[in-house]
Amino acid sequence: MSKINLLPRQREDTLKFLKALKIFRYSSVLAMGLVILSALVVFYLHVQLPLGALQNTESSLLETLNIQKLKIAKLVIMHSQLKDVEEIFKERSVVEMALEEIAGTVPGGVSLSSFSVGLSEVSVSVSSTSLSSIDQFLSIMVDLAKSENKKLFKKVILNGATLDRSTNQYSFSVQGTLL
Amino acid sequence: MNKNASPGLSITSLILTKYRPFLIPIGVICSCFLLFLLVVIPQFQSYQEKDRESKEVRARIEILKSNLTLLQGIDDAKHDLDFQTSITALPSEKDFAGIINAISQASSKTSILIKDYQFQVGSLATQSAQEVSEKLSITFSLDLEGGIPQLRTYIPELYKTFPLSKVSEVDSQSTLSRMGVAFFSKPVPLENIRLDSPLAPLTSAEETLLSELHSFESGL
Repeated sequence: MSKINLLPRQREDTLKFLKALKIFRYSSVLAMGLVILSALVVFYLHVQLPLGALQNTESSLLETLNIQKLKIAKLVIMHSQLKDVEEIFKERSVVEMALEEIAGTVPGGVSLSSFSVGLSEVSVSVSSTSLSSIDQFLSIMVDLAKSENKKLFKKVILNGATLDRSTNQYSFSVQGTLL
Repeated sequence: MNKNASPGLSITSLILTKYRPFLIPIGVICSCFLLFLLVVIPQFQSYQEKDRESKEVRARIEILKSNLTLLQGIDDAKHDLDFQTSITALPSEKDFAGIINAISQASSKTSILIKDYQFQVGSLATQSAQEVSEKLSITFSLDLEGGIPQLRTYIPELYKTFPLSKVSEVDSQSTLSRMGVAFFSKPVPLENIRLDSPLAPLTSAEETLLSELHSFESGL
């Protein structure tokens, strides 16, 4: 069954025109409302920001601290100096330890003919007529590579052991690679 | 003939007559769109920027407050003494007189003769702000009369007189020893000090180190 339009053609166009106009009018009001609302929201957000008050607090705190600037500078410098002091103290303990642990514990009957500590190794030349004293000395050196609390070397090498038959004296040198 | 010559005119007159009631709503919609685009959005962006700035200022205020609390708890006299000790231990400039004095003082206290010494100077002045934070050193090569026992007494005495020295090399024969000693200094980085950087109190390790340095100082 086909539908029959009873309205005249012109009347139908006018109704469409008015409907479109109505939509445009409502849309314009809605757009205006949205812009006003969003502007108000942004304005409110701006107003409730405490930036000015915070900046005032910051500058008054800075003024107070500025009076104590010297004290701050001293504290900062102290931290920096002490950090370096600690580093130097740690680094220098190697030579002290080598001197104490090797030269300070040489068993009787062993004489140190030369001793040198470099950046990466310690080299000691010793001589003795007693093999047991030499054994004791070598044990001390090996302990410095094995011991947990006194560990100084990662490697210990025995170099050029010789025997002077006229004096019956054993001479050799030991090289320890520092950790 | 005239109608065909100016079609634009007929469209304009059509808009101005037939669609005239649409002009105001369209104008309002366009204006609102432009207002949103040119005013509301930039204002919102400016709000976000200010909000970020507020957060930064708030964080700085917290730092400043904690710095102030820390400073109020510091004993001025002890602070000055500690500072003096640390700056004496690691001087801000190369102290040649102090070094030579320390070498001879340690020598006279241990009665070990210094036969000869020579030194190598590193950079005399720092070139950039970055280098300011680096410590500088002068290395002295000392020839001492004596062997290992003399070295074992001389080195601790030197460390007491000039705590920030470091024996880097030792070469000892029975009656003659040579050692390389580095003496340190460090320029004070005054321009890097900011009030709004977080300050920390001295740690217990630093306090221990300071008391060790005090003992060196009082032993002089």
